[in-house]
Amino acid sequence: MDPVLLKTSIITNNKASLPTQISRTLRRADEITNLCVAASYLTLNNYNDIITKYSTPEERSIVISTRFGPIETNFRYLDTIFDFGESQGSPTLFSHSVHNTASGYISRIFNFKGPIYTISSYSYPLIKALLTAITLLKQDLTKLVLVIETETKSNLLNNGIKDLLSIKDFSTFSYSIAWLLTNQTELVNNTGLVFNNISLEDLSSYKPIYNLFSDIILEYQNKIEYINSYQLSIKLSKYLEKSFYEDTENIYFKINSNIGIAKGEIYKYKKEVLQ
Amino acid sequence: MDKNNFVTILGSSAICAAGEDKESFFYNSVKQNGPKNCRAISEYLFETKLDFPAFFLGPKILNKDVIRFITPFLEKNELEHCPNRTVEILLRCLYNLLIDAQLEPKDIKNKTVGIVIGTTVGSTFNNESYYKAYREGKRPYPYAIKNYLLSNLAQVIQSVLEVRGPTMVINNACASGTDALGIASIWIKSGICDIAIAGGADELSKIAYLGFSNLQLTSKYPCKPFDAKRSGLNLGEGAALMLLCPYKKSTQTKGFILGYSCTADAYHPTAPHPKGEGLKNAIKNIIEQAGIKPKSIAMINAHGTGTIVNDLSESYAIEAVLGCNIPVVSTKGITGHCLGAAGAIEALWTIEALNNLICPGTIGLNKKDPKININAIIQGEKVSLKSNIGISQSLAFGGSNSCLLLMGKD
Repeated sequence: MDPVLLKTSIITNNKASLPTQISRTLRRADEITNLCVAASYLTLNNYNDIITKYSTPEERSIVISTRFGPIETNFRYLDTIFDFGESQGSPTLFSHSVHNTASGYISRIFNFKGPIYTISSYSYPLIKALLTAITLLKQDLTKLVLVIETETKSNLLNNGIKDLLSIKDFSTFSYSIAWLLTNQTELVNNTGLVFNNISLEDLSSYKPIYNLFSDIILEYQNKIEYINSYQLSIKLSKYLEKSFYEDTENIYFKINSNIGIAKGEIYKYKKEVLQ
Repeated sequence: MDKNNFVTILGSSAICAAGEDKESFFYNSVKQNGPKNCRAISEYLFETKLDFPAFFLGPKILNKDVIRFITPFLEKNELEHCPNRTVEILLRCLYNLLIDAQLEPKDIKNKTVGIVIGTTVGSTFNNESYYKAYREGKRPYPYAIKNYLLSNLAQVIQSVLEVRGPTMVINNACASGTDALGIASIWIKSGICDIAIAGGADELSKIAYLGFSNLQLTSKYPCKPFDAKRSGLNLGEGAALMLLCPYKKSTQTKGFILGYSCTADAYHPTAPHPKGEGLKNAIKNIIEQAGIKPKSIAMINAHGTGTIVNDLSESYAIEAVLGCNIPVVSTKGITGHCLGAAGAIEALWTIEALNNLICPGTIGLNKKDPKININAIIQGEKVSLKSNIGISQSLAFGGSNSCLLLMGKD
């Protein structure tokens, strides 16, 4: 079966209502980890029983993508060195300043023991994670992948990038998007979305590679819309909530920027039901 | 074994404290002369004198040939220097890769080449002076931001070579280099690209070094993997790259990737599973993927950092899946722990060992820990290998375990 998107969730603050057991595990975690775990929880919540029934922990995977990773956690670690001396840096902050800390938390909390990856890219982080997830699923290296894109707000970056590019508007904000994909019919309730013919081409050699603006161009219902990956998640979430039998056109998307092109198409998955 | 599932290594290169190219790196480990270039580097990295030695490449990375090679990249991006030391190490390694693969940049210009690079420090904004000024309320000119945004390692290679295709930087901590090679091999098998450049690169970073010492994982002495007196790791720096393509018979072939697996422990944020459960699964997976018998595997190049918990966890996993007789080596005693580059450097070393059918001993291992029940080869010994198939494995923060099943050339 082609990989199917089952659910998407979005979170923009780390004050999500989580079960006590998860909150306890997160008591030392930094903002980016909290965001990623909360988005994972929202995404997996209604699927726990079916996931447990039809997949082993070793068949569940995680791909996290980010442009900047836990950059603010790294600054907090530096604060402890500047304030207290080189030998007195906080080991907790240091261990959370590593890019793949969030994936470790998620694998532990939700019992995912398959491949886990953290990717960093200034261009198309979500599409790169999606491409990785789809490749793992198509190669039968896993049955279920949690794909996450995440960033945290950094005033240092916001100001630095505005100064560097001489622009007025640039602002990072804190969020996590989580997408759940599978290649198993049993894991699909009724509806799903299939990503087809995804291709990705970076073109760093032809343009300055520090250009961060990459707009997703969606073509559907004879309309063209410019959105980002956060807005794409909201749109797909609504699309997934619609009645499966409602006749909706397929979506074609193109992600275009000065540093490359990603494109593909999204169509509805119809679960074959034996009469 | 189905050769159509093999991924061919057409070229390779490495730079680390044990050697500035792959030949001297392997030669120095066979010579077993003890750790080279492992020393205190306080004058280079630290304001205060710390006691922990590290494996250092020296202050100057680039020679004239490499500078000439990368000048168009620097000019295109209006840079006077490479954005950071990791990029310098990577590009020197890339230059050597092209020589090893007998390629000129013009041979691949505009071609579709997948690029996957593992790193840890290389993706982190570690400019202390910029951050210090910022937190004091100043607004420094953002050279540091520009350098940060120009240092995505996969995109740097793409820009230098002027090639097209997908790029990816893997940040799976200390397993990043292994995962980069593994993901590139999956790309090749999936047809995402016909040719890929993959590996890892990392520099010695003051911040990473302080972090590891704050976690009490560093040793005050040269590291001693699997030894009864081991007391922690030493950090190192370096890079290794491979040029990969689908199965191909060629006199140029350096070896093959037969299998790759990444698993999670789901156990602890920083420590490995005490019984190596995730690693066991990864080793089993690659054996199953390749369809070989465990006894066909001649050796394991272990992660072998020299910390108490890593070496124990790894030895339990190896013993459980492959028994206690298979030769095991760690190269950390001659390279240090090169973080995101480590897995790629070790995979390359493993291919060299398999092509020479020799497994040199572990530098720093004099008397094995009695709790470790595997055949870790001690310093000064060499073992002749019974086949040209071996494993290179990495463990990482976050509970990642990654293994490559490798084979020397036919």
